[in-house]
Amino acid sequence: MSRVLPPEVPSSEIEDPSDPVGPDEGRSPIEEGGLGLLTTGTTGAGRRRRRRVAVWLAVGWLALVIGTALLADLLPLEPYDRIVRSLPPRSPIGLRLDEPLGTDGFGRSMASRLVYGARQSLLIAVVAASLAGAIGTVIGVVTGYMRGKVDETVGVLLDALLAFPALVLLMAIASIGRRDVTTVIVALSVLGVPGFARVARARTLALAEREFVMTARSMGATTWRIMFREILPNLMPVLLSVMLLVLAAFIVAEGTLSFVGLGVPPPQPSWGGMINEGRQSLRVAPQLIFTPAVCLVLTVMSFRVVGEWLGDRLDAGEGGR
Amino acid sequence: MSGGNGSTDPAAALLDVRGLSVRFPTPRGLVHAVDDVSFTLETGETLGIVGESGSGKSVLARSIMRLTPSTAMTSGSVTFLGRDLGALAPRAARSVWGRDVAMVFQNPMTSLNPVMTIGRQLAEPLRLHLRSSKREARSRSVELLRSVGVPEPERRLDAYPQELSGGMRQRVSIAMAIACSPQLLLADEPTTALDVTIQRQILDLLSDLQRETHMAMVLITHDLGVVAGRARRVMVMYGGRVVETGPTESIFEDQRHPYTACLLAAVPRIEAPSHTRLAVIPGRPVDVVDPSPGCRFASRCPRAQPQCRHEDPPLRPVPERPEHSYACFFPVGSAEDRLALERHAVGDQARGG
Repeated sequence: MSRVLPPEVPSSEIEDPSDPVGPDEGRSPIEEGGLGLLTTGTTGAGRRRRRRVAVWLAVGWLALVIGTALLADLLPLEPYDRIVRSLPPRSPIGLRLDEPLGTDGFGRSMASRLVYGARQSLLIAVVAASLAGAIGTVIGVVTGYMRGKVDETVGVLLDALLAFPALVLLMAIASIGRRDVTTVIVALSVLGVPGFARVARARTLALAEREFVMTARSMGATTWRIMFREILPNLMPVLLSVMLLVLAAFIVAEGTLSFVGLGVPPPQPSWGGMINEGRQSLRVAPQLIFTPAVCLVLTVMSFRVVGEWLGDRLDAGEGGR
Repeated sequence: MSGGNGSTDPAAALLDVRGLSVRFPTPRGLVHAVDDVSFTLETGETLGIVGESGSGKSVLARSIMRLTPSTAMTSGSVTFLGRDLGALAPRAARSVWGRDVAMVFQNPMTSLNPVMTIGRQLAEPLRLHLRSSKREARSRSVELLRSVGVPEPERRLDAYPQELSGGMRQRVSIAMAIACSPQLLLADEPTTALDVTIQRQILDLLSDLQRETHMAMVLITHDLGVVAGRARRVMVMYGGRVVETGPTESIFEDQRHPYTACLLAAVPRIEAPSHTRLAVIPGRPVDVVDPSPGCRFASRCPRAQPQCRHEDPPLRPVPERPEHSYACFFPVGSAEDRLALERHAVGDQARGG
């Protein structure tokens, strides 16, 4: 868990789109048995079908996580920072129905901390990804359309930012600022800008050659108008797909920061922080690490599955235009 | 309405292009896309520009609109209603484009923005140039769509381009171009990407619109049949240069440049017996990277002489018709031409035998 996946989008775009996504996630036993007789798992139809199941499972999981995170205050949960008196610390999963996930090392409700942790992680990831998306997209569109010196200069700066190891950059920013949510968001945003800028620039370069841009120019549209009213709306679908992939990377990155102690300050829960705290009792109570870790892995995978599915659908749709 | 090349007073003309050259630096060398082209156009007149791919006709239209890439080196002047378009500040130029001069592009599949509704795209020039309100723009858009023959215009306003057929999309781009009643329409191969049956409809539409609004039009095409009966004058381009220009009938009936003759001969005839061989022009379109002096068509010309390869033939008028000019040392039908053809044939035999 100590490795940060850099939110560097092009690499995930290069990834073979035919690669069956979500290992095992979309493979229900019935389907395997049923289709196995007629088709091998590698044929297009079987793979597409498995993939569709994977996408649905991913969407379901994300709905569950986002739903509970949003409705955390309405759920019958103990406060995340209060010790549950009726249970000893590190009580196992499934011991009691009102605390299905047991308690952590201090005796606090795991279920509550998991849900509030999800809220924290999602909030940070969404805000940071939106900020990075907005800044990166504007940079990408302007440099991609204007070209020339501005493009070269900004390109060098972004490459320098990308060349920096993501975790080092994150830790540097996080250790300069105060230890709070804002600092984490700023750090992640900086990290995300180059990815968005690259994708937006690449798409803008292609779109600027299209005749509708020529049409707009021949109608007397200003450069500003062409960039943000003609080109930008065309970027929205691909940016949405990038956004999901970046969200996945940011959730991991936030977890990593919390794990190394630079994330949100305790007692506020976050998944990375929970894994960090559970480390001390790995031998006696491994569920303290595994519960948040599984949630984190599933969420990240789900974002990636949905994001890649969306990206492929868009690529396929491009041809028809 | 004297038209012709250089014979009119430039001040009276709607559009006056003088010595326009466009060059692109490329890794292979300097591409002379448009080489010293001049023509004038009067109010309500149609000029057909004909040439094969790479003859520079599209670049010519785009450089009139200043739509060429920033690397292009342009010289010469483009005067529209007495104003030098090339010297206009960007702001002033934008108020001319779309309002006084508009352009229709070749491919209706890509010339409309795929993520904007037809209504919004039509409203854009109206709101920009005429400062129309949203409601005015909408009702005017409906009128425009109706005038270009789009059925159910109210419903089409909320459609996206990909919901329409190619012909309908081209009608929409024409509607956009004529939204502000321009005085000049540049149509860059407006029918090339369309089915033959639709081509005719679109061309008729353009002619009708022109008759109603009295706008001038530059009709760019590689198809001589498109120009016949629609353009009053024709300009034939090859390798970035004008090789022949004149009234349409004069060009069709009595062309002087061998390239024009070859082009006309290459048009398949419906009345010809079946299995007649299609006439082709041997060789490939000329490469205009760092060209050496001489006629651009010389390498493919059936009557090329040493002189053609070393000397640029000037544009000169046909003796009895000053409007019709050509750039050839051995024009079709002349005594020199017959001599040249004979010499060529002898040369071929000598080489072959």
